[in-house]
Amino acid sequence: MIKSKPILSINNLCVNYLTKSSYKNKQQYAVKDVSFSMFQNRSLAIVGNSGCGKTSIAMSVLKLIKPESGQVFFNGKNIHKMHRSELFNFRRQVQPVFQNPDEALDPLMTIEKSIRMALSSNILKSQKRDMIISLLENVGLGQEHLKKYPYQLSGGEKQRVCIARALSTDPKLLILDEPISSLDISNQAKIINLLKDIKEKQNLTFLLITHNPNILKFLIDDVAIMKDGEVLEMSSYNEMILNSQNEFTKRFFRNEIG
Amino acid sequence: MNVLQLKRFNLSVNVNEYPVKILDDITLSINKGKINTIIGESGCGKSLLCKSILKLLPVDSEYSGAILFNHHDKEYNLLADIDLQQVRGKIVSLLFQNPSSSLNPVLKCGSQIIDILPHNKKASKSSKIEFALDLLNEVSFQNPMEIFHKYPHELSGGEKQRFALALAIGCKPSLLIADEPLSSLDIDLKHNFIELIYKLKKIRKMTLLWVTHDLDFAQKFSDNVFVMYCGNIVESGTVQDVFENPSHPYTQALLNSFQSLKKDRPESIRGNISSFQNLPKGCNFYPRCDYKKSICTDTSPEYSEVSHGHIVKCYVQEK
Ligand SMILES: Nc1ncnc2c1ncn2[C@@H]1O[C@H](COP(=O)(O)OP(=O)(O)OP(=O)(O)O)[C@@H](O)[C@H]1O
Ligand SMILES: Nc1ncnc2c1ncn2[C@@H]1O[C@H](COP(=O)(O)OP(=O)(O)O)[C@@H](O)[C@H]1O
Ligand code: SF4
Ligand SMILES: [Mg+2]
Ligand SMILES: [Mg+2]
Repeated sequence: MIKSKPILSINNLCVNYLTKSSYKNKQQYAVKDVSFSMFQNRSLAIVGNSGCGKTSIAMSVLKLIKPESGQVFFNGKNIHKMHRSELFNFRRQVQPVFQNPDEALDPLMTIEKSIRMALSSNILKSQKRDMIISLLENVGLGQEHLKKYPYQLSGGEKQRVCIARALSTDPKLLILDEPISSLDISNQAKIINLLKDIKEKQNLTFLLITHNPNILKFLIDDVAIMKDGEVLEMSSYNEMILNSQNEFTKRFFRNEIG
Repeated sequence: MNVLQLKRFNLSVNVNEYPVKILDDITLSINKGKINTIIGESGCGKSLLCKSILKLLPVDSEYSGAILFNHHDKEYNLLADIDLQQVRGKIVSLLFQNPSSSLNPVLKCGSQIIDILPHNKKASKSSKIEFALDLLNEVSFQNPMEIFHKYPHELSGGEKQRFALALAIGCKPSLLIADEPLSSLDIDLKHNFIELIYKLKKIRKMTLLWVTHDLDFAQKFSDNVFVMYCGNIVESGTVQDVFENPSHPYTQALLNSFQSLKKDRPESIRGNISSFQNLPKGCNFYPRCDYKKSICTDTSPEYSEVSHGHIVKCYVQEK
């Protein structure tokens, strides 16, 4: 088998939030020495309990926070050593969909404008509106939403706008942080199917962050289990379901409600 | 005993300078010490319903009907500001859907909790801190002191949600309204939430009105369930009525979709929720309904009782 080059590699990543407010300036490692690689068309889920460091990894990969140590490589390039044009490309090719759609949308921009801003400047102005309409349609939102502001949408509607916007730059890697946890059941099903579809059609790879083990089987090839800032184990989804010996992992997948 | 009653409550909000009707003829009553669950598709008006109860409405909203709240044999009219002031954040509190929006970004978590202490001028500093740490403990923080010293933006998604919960229960409300309190929590924390509610229900007879998309939890832990669609309550009854004998086509479709997520192919409900600016004539659900009759496209159905207390707004169930 020819081993392809990883699309994303993380080496010895440590994230430490040492803020002024930190209690007695205690060091708080949110992420401790995490390493893994991701390959094109093999989507990875990072799962683990609340506060274990999942979002901190996502933020580091997106270059939205600076890790204390360790490196992140996208297509072999260290994201902290990219030139302006490389960085520009990186930002288009790696798109986030966050846990909280409210923090992701500018409250003063209409939905149409939010997506328009993300569209490439190469696209003709006359085509943009049609593209925006079809991007929204893709996620189940009609034209009546174009002129609305985020506050006029429900939580689920906002999350769909975020997904539409993320897709607008034709990305390669989507970083999805709890993408469906704010949606209702029917929309969860819709978004899972949508993500499945676009994954194939647009040749996308996902880095999915979730504490909901139920959605993994639909979208994911590999799984990394995190606890207290560390990756406990990582393997293919099927392998993990069948063979994991780790108690924490087993409990996680049982996901029982008592 | 009824704690809360909504009578023919209607709400219109302002969208691009036009009033748009969202909540339509909502009538419901909630019994003391019960867990009451609202379920339904995003955008159907669940959050606006929660906010209406404490009159936290968008500017230029228009409403009609009545919202009545009972506490210690006194009846409060929550649409009247004088009554509302005695109740909001004291006897009734609301946990918002999006915790960040309700937290003060420039105050440390500890100070925010101390601020909600009743008569907080008299208490000593150490007793205030103790109160805050206890409260943080109650919402499952293992390191309350660390959270005490953090700002809200320094919390993870699940931590924010729990911190907002701490603020909401800090005033010892007799009615807690919680809008999707589970969405950022992992399975263990979801359990802790339910345990906490049970505890408060037991020691203080607290009543819960909550919204959730987690139908596993809704089924397991509710006493009564309200199903909303396009601003109406289309079905309501005990949890057994709704989950074991779903009688509105929308409830059936929702539960079907819920089951499909446990299988191999997720199935959504066909079509999209109609926009409030463009509601269909007749039954709001008919564009997506597999059981529609000709009358459905013409006149909206009335409420009918399938069995005692099990109410459905659909022609199929009308006797
Ligand atoms: N800006 C920050 N400053 C200080 N501490 C932070 C900051 N952001 C996160 N943390 C802490 O780092 C740890 C990991 O947070 P992170 O957001 O990565 O968790 P998570 O796994 O995404 O959790 P959740 O599922 O609840 O969203 C948590 O203990 C959190 O309190
Ligand atoms: N402040 C507001 N101004 C105008 N429209 C709003 C406002 N808040 C919500 N809406 C609209 O009202 C409908 C119901 O919203 P919401 O109550 O948030 O739904 P849910 O909580 O059921 O997802 C949606 O169509 C939404 O777009
Ligand atoms: S009233 Fe008619 S259209 Fe509406 S849910 Fe019932 S059968 Fe379907
Ligand atoms: Mg997170
Ligand atoms: Mg809502």
